[in-house]
Amino acid sequence: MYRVVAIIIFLGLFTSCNKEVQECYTPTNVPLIVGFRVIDTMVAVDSLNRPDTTVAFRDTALYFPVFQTKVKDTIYSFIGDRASTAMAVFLNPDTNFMQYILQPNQDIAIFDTLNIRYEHKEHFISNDCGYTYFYDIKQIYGGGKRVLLDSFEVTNAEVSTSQKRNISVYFTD
Amino acid sequence: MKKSYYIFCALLALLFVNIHIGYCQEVDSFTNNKSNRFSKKDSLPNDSVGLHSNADSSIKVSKKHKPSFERQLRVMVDVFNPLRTVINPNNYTFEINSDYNLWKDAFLVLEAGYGGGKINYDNLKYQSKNGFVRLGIEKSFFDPLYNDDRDMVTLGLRYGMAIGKRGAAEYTIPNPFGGVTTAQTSEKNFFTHWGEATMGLRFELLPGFYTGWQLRMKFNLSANAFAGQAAPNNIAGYGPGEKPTSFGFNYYFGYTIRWRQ
Repeated sequence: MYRVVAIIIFLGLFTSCNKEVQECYTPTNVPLIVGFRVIDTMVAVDSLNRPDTTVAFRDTALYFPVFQTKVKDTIYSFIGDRASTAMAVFLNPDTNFMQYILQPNQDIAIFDTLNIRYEHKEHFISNDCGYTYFYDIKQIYGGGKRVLLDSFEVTNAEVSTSQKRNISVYFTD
Repeated sequence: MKKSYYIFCALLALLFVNIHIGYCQEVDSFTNNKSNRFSKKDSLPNDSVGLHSNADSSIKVSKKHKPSFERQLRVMVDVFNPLRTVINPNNYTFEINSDYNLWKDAFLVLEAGYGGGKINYDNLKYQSKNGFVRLGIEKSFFDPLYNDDRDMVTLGLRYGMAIGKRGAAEYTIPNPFGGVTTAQTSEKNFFTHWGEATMGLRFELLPGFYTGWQLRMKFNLSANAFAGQAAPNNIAGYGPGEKPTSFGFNYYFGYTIRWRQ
């Protein structure tokens, strides 16, 4: 009886061995996740006619937002969803600086500028996925005249496969 | 009369020696053979003791007698992993297993081997090789069904160590804006160690010739040894270097030498 069980297990395990196939289920291009937030300021007066100001920081949804950049004479556009509260853009590992033009609504020609300084490092994901780049955000700042952008915040400086929000851009209400 | 007295005494002495030898063999067979389904305490039936009621001293002598103990040293060769290499030539492991019984059902186990791995993808290429040893204990939980039944179901624990080298890894990283970067890491010597819980079966095909299998659950104790670097796809003795746990299987053929002590 034990011999039969042993032979069955042996054959089962042996036949379950498949030739190694490269299977990668992790993104090998690591994106920078940009979140959209709004500083919502409400000024009112109470029943005694005293000023009552409420400031709320909350996510805001943009209508097909567009990030545009220029790399080696080619313009790349990243377009978000209909009601995006965050979207992913790439960083260029060949440089330590990128400038993105942000158009909050693809139908309205209003543009703001986002400058990002960063450092990149090589990171081993797995044998199947190989290596990729992780990034460290060093600085974010606006450029030119700010139209809708109010401020920036680095929420998670390490750009990795974690899919966490890395920076937040604040719009004025 | 005197002559017949001597003959009577000689016969009595012979009978005494004969009974004594028979009793000792009986004790041995009871204590060494669980198939009788008696505990050691019950292995001296009352009637057997009664047989010696006229010779209490013989019982005392037999209690002092240390039952002979069968030692065994078993050496087995794994055939599963070499066969697996036929299907997946990028991983290879060769290993032998030896055990030595400390007690009747407890074994000291020493395993050793070597092997390696190879990654040959478009974006990553390297080779690695290593040697390993495992030391552990194993206990049989199988009651013999008949005399000389030495088949075993075992549970055990192991501590494994591997020393090896991962060769220089060539890799490419895609740039999301086009193009790829090609780079190479330097080769790396590594040491890794792990713990294992095992379960197995051994059965004697022919006198002295054994076969059996072993299932292993392994826990890497140095899982961060390759953090952020190319980890060998096969650390012989353990498995994928990038995984904190792994499972293993061996199928053995081997030979046992036995001696009484």
